Amino acid sequence: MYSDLVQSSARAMGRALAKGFTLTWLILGVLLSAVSAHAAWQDPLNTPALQTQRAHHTLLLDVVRADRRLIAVGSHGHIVYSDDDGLTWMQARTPVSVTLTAVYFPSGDYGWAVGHDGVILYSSDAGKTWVKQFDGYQANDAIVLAATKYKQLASDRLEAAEAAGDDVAIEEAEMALETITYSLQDAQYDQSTGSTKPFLDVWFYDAKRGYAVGAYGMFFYTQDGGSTWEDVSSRLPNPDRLHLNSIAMVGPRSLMMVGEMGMILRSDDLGQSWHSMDSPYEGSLFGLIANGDQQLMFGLRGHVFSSVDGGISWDEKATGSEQTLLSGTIGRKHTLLVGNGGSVIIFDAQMQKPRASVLEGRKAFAAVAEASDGNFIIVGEAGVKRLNAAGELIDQTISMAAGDF
Amino acid sequence: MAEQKHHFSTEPEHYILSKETEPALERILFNNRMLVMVVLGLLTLLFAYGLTKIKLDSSIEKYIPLNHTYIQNYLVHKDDMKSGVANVKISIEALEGDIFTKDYMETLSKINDDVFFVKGVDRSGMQSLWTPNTRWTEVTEEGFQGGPVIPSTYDGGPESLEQVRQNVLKSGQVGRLVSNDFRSSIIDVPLVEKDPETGEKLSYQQFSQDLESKIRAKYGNDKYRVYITGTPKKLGDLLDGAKSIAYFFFAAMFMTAILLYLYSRCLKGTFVPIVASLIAVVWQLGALALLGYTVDLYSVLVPFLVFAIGISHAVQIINGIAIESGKGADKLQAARQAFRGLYVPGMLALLSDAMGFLTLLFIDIGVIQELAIAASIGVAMIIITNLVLLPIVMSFIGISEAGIRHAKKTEKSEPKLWKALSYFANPKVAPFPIVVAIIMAVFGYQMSQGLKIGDLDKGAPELRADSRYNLDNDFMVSNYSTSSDVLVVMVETAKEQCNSYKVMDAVDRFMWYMENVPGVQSTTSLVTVSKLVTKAMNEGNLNWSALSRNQTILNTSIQRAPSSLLNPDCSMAPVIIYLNDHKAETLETAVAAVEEFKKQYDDSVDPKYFGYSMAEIEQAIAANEIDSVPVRFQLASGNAGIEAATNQVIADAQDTMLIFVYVVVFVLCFMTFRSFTAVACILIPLALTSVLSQALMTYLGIGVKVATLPVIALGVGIGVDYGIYIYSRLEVMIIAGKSLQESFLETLKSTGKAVSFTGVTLAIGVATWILSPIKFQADMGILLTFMFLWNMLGALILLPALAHYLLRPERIIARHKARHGDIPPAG
Repeated sequence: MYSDLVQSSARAMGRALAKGFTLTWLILGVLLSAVSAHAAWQDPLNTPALQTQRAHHTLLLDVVRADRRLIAVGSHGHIVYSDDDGLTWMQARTPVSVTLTAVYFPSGDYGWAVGHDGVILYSSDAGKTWVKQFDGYQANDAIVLAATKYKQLASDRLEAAEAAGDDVAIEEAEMALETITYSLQDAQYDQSTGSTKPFLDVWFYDAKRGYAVGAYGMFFYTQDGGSTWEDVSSRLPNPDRLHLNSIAMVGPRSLMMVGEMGMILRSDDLGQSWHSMDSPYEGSLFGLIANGDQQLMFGLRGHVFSSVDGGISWDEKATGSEQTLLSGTIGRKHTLLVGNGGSVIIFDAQMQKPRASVLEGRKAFAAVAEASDGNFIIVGEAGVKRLNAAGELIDQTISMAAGDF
Repeated sequence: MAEQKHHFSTEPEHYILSKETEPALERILFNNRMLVMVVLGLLTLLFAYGLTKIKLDSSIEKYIPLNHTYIQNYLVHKDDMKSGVANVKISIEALEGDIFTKDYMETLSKINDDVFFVKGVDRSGMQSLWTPNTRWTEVTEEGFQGGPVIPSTYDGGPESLEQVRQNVLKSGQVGRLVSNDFRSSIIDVPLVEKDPETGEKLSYQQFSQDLESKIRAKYGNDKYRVYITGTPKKLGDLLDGAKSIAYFFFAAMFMTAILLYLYSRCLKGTFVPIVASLIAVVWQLGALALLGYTVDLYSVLVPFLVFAIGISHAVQIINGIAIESGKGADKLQAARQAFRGLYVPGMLALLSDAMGFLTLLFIDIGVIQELAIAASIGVAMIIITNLVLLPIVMSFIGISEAGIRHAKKTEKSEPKLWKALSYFANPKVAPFPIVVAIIMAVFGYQMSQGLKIGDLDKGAPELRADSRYNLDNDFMVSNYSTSSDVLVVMVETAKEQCNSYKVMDAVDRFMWYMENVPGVQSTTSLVTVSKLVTKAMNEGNLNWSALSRNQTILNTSIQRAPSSLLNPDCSMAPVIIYLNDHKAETLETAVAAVEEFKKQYDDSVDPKYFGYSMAEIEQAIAANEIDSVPVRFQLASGNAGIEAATNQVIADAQDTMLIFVYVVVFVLCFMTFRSFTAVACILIPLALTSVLSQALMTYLGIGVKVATLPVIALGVGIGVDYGIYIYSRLEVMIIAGKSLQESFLETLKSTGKAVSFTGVTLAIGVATWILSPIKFQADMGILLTFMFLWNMLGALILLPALAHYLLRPERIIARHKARHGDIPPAG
């Protein structure tokens, strides 16, 4: 009697347990499948930037002025803008969270921002909202497409040269074919592994035509306001695919670019054709600012060169600083260069008499713009700072306000 | 015989032992006095032997909630994250000028050499301006250039010093090895925790003392000041502080002896209770040691409690003996009578103490549970040493004539204080204490709403804010770019995947997310290194401060990352989150943010995948088991992580423990007095004390933490004694037919003195802790002193007033009659 009771209750318990187990597994299975479907990594190229009160306080890499508005771009896809000369900033809505390196507004309303992973963003409302026009995957495809085309052209040329029996032409064509073959291989590798390259600068002539330049000789052109971008790096005399650090307009139809290993390139037909210029320097050049033929060029270890003849001859300017200079702007009264280690170099209105100073905290600064009130806005590792017209730090709190969407 | 029976039946009903066993137990003990003495003497020898085995324990594990998920997660990676924990920083400040002087550099060099030879230092990992691993690097046209910060050509001349200054600026060590104001520099000293040759564990105490004598004392002068921080130093200081506990013990003992003498006016009556209580302490510590327990910074306090509780019970016995002797009983008879009268209420009080302590077992933190066990054992020991041994010893030596005279005198006297206190039971006066108590309860409750969980002070909360260690820590925090409050999140993935782009990107996103959380200062991880090196590889151009999608570049960028930022098989990379402070809100906010963020990733993926190799992961992906390389964010390590876990455990346990303590004392009181009104009279003053002590904690800025949580259980468990003693006498008097006020006066005359004496003894025992250099011991001291004294006042003032409103004397008498007939109560 008693043992019966024990046995039957044990059986009941066993059944209950078994039931419980099946149920548990069922639930677990459903949960797991649901979870694994959700838990996918999200590409920063498709992840909107975090909305934050600290965007003006993080790494920012470029700042420009479009009419009265200041617009700065930087890490994690952040774009901030200010309508009161840099005292309060608002965060723009951006569709990506990759680091943005440069921004350009050919007019007050529309502008472009570029950055890592080959991203190009476009705004038509003076920088409040942005859409993605282009990214590194498209860039890789475009580069492979262009390289394939040029490889074909190069082998056609080789065939033609061989047919003509011109030894010099054959040798040239063979070399060109070799170079383009390597380029194509690299491009295909990038395409297959999804490894992208950063854009480092952007410039637009008008609402339609513009260039995005970047690492490893990336050089893209659009003539439809960014709807389509074309790899036009073959226009450049840059066989080693050196980084293109900066592009600037230096005359009505003239553009100049500077880059790695002292590279200086110039175009006098708005970028259709380019030639290499003699460089006074073998180190990297990070920027060039021009007021017509009067130019300043700067780069590694505090090197600054000035030219008054449109870049044909250069004078080195001793600044007393050995800190790498990354960016500059020509203001109404002063010209300012900024760079690593908190260094600020101030020139007078004639771009003469450089005076070096170091900002407290020694943080690196990546860009500078002149606000409409004549103060300078500098951005970098420490976010936004304001300098007065004489280049001294303004001790005033810079704050963030909610964007007006 | 009849007389004896008569005497017993007037006591309120006690439940533990029936009346029939009472004389039997007494008979057994007192008829074999010598045998009992010998047995107890042998036991004392045994425990004294155990005492020699006792060890001070410095293991950190006991102080943290080992079963909490965070801690479990941490323990998985404990070995990978060793570096950084056992690490000491020594800063040398130039009081005049800056560090770029010949003399400073020379001194620093000497200190560097001396530190090198201190036992326990991991010499290869040491870093200072003088070690070769402190280098500057610079990007030039030709590529990287670099060298040691102090060049081999250094000669102490102005040019050399200027070069050092330049190198320091280029080295990126400002804020790390060199203070932001260039007036001090750091020697970073990692430790070898186990001697590689002998396998012996490094003694932090010894190491800490070595640093004090060989570095600080030697080099600190009017030109230079030495600052030392780091967990090993802190532990060393704490263990040093624990030593001063011995002095406090002697101080408490001395004060108690004086009080005892004033109370008994008999040297024997002073000496014997102290010896008996000391024996209880020996038994308690010896038993713990024999059971394999160690003493830690909490259980080191238990002897105080055992001693004080022991004394308070001994006093009752001595008092009883003196009174009986005064009635003419001989030594043996007086001791027997005292034993008979007191061992049941004594045992009840002690058991309620022990039960109160045992509720601490609900808190899943080693030190608290061991505190509960140690205190419970101690109280159990008192039952034997003070309730058995003491009367037997007294039956041999007896009490002095002076003591008997004093006892007689006090019994007859009617102190004004007692007379005054008795009015609290008077109908006209009783409303006042009640109203005052209600007001206090309301205010106390309101104030206690501000009570915080966790440690509220900055720096090392275990030590005082003005302690050497915390002053040093302040110096470090304000002069270097560092925070002492660190939350570490362990990012787990498959083997060799911690540096893959997808994982690094997840970490990058996480870091930025966390940097936006209030209370977070900054974050560091492998990603920080990768971005920094990628930028450096691109000539220091800020535009390159980003993660590369090119795996080759990523690999290169972390090649020389510190080993503390990834584990050997690259399946885990910690994210170090620096917080503003370790206040509970800061921790909760940060931890909640992590919990929220981690949901986006493979939080619920089967844990097994995290140990997989890449080949296995690819198979699993191919088999559609998972979507991609799994990543999950695991809480938590770092002092803030451990504290967050501790706070959670404490917040959870707080209410449970409080409820259990009160349930236990409620049940005990109810079983004793079989009356809800009696229980209310006893527990309401206790509850008021609990509320007020929480208000006091809010006022003093003491949070609910590992140290203060036990205080509530101890305070209630021990505090209930007063109520029990007072109420049991009061009931006897009421049954005797006296008015409430008269009853209370009689109660005060017989036990008021003992109760107040007990309160003061207990308070003295714990008040000495207030002087402890260890902050949490001091906090416990303040709160326990408050609770012991306040509970005493509650029993003397609020209890009679409550009795006026709650007790129905006629019903008590009726019930007594129903049970015991017409046997008249004894006074």
